[in-house]
Amino acid sequence: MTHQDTARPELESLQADTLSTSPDHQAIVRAQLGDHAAFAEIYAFHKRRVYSLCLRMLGNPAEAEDLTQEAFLQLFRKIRSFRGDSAFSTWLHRLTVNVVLMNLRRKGLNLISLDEALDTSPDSGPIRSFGAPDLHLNGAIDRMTLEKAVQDLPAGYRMVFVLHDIEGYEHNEIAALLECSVGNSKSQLHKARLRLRQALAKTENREVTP
Amino acid sequence: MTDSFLPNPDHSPQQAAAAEQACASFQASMPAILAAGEDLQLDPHLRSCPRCQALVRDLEAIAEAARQLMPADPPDTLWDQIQRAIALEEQPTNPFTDRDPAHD
Repeated sequence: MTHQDTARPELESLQADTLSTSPDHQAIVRAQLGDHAAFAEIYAFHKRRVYSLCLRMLGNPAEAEDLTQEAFLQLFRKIRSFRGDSAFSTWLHRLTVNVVLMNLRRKGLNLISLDEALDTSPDSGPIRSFGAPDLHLNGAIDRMTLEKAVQDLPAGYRMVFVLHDIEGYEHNEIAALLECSVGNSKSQLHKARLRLRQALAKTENREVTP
Repeated sequence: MTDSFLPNPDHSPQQAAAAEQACASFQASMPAILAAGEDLQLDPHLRSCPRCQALVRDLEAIAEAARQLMPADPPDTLWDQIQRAIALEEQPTNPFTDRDPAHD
């Protein structure tokens, strides 16, 4: 790497104030100065969170791998611009979300109006949550079953559910990221949970019925 | 989680149908209520309907379960791929192979 040769003096001042709260702040500073081993440390520290975010947002392991790679490449290019205004993990998380959203937009996906339209699964009618008593969940929710159900959600639902319920984003943040209204984000989240409930209840019934 | 919902055995078929219609109507309005930022718990139907209360509890349980999901490990080979991609980015441009043919 050649960054070391051209490191700006102001990077050194970053070390003292803006990064000291991050658990991997030493590695971040060294990576900003062009240290490859430090970048490897950062990868090791954050890889699970970045990959999981990609995987859950995309619902596809191969694409998740590609975009995890893209996210870390972007990180490599941009790490010197990290000034510590937010936690590094938050910054990297946001960078990853943007990589995924950019990828989806490049594919022409309209992220917020595609809920029902994109769902091509054979049993995907409109969500009917009322009536049938067998729709109610009767036991603890199995983690693997939930992961699979999230993966099978239509992209618009999945995006909002992952960002809000799994990653802890607020509706106003999601609205800004997805370029939709806060109300739309709330409504999509509700529909996503309904769809998940339907999928989980079906799985429960299959397990109970011999 | 939620107790199984059983229809009220004392209800006539008409009453059962009306109850079901009330639930359907409330549940159809839920996205709009939430989108408007209103508190679902204050809805009069929800306060008196065990079936819809069970639905809301299920949705809350799903949100809670989502918060507990653990991150997954990427494949071990991914770091090698990233390193190769970084190495490619760092390669100095070759003045001969990268020459603009228009200048030849």
